[in-house]
Amino acid sequence: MVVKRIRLRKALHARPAALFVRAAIDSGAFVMLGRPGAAPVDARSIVSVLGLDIRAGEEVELSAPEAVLGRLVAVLESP
Amino acid sequence: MIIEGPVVWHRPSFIQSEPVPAAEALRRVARECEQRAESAPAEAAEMLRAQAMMARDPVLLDRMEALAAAGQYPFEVADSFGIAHADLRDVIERAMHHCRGMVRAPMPRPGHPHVLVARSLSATDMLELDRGTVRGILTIEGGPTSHAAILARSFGIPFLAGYAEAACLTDGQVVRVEVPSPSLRFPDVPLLANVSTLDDALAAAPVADGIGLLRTEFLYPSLDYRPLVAPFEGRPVVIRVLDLGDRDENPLGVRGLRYLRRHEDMLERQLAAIAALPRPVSVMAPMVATVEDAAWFVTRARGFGIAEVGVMIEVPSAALCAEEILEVADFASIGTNDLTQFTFAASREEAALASYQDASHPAVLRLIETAVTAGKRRGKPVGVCGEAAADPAFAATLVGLGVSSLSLPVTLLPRR
Repeated sequence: MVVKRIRLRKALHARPAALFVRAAIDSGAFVMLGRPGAAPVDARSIVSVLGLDIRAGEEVELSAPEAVLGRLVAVLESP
Repeated sequence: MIIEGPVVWHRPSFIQSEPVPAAEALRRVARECEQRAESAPAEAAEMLRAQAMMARDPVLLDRMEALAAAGQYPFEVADSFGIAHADLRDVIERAMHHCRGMVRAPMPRPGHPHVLVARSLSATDMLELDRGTVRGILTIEGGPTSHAAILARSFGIPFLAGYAEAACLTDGQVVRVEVPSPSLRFPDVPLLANVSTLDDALAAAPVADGIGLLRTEFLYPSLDYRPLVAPFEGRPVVIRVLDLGDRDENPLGVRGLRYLRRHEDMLERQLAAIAALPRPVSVMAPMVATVEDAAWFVTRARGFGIAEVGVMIEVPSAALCAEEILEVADFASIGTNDLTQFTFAASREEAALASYQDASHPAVLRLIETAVTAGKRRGKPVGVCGEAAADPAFAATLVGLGVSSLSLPVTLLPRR
């Protein structure tokens, strides 16, 4: 598992969250998302990801195997 | 435009059916969403697929089963997540109806041309419409910027919201109602877009005459506006410098230009980035209250070689002093949302005061007129940006007053 810290330009509302969760599921890996210093949630659950209520400009921590990390970061960073 | 035909009422009701366990209820909701997504316009389809994903999320099922076992209403599932997410709440509510053996009656499909009448319609209702036979829609409640009205526009179905007389109509009665022309396009008045993200810019490029308000807060800390500006080659673009505030988020506090005057380095970095764009754009400042504010900003922006420098008119004092302000600034853009809340001293976040958020009230109109008249006298353009301008009747009033452009959220821009 690699942990990567990212500042999000967009809020994780239903549609961007759905895109990210879809990518996490499709990666076939165990992926977690959370705020730095707080307990992360299973990134394959859209209900859990929406529960984080991430706003535009916030920093998040993504934990995923190195092989899939780059792809997931790209989805989170896409405008 | 005229809505004409026999009335068919839609009165939401429930049909009794077999109660099902939570797992089956959520499966049904997911299938409903997926089926609707197939025939929905792109934006709605994406939302519906996100909802289907929520309904298929095992975490939601666990929560619903745990709460049902504890004897709580599944309704409280949404609260137990500590979020008030409207789309998720909708999924849970619909699943709960299935759990209780109640199914919402479908929208009427009379099989002949008709005028649909309802108290109000949701976005979900609109997606269930029999678009082949609906000649028009009348609702007692709602307004021209509701979800339902926007979807109706995208389907090309005439829609009149807030039509109180509809309450007296009966099924089968033939009505004929004239709908004010929904056109927001007026000769010589450019229709611009309010843009906050790259997605907005890409969506606006085919339908807008330019960008009337490029908000930079959502892009921050990025100061790279090239990808947003590029699709608007040959068309005007107005970039508004950062509208940030101190922590308390008080709309009357240190925000907008007041904040930038205390963080001048931040403004200078942004102005430098804007001046370095490969094409000229205009800039404007938010929350300008006085001539002195305007002069301070204009001097800074000109220092970076930016030719067109304007101000937002959101504060009543700026509207009242527009003539002096337009002596120093090249243009002004009236922000109807803030101007309205400041005129009535009624926060637009306060639901109990929603009735004050009326940009067409004479008090606000007089301020708009003062600013527009000042612009004419000085020979400087004064436009309007804000959702209120999406109401065709209000837009016509603004154009009548002499505004030089209308700038709307991308979702409210009519297709060409």
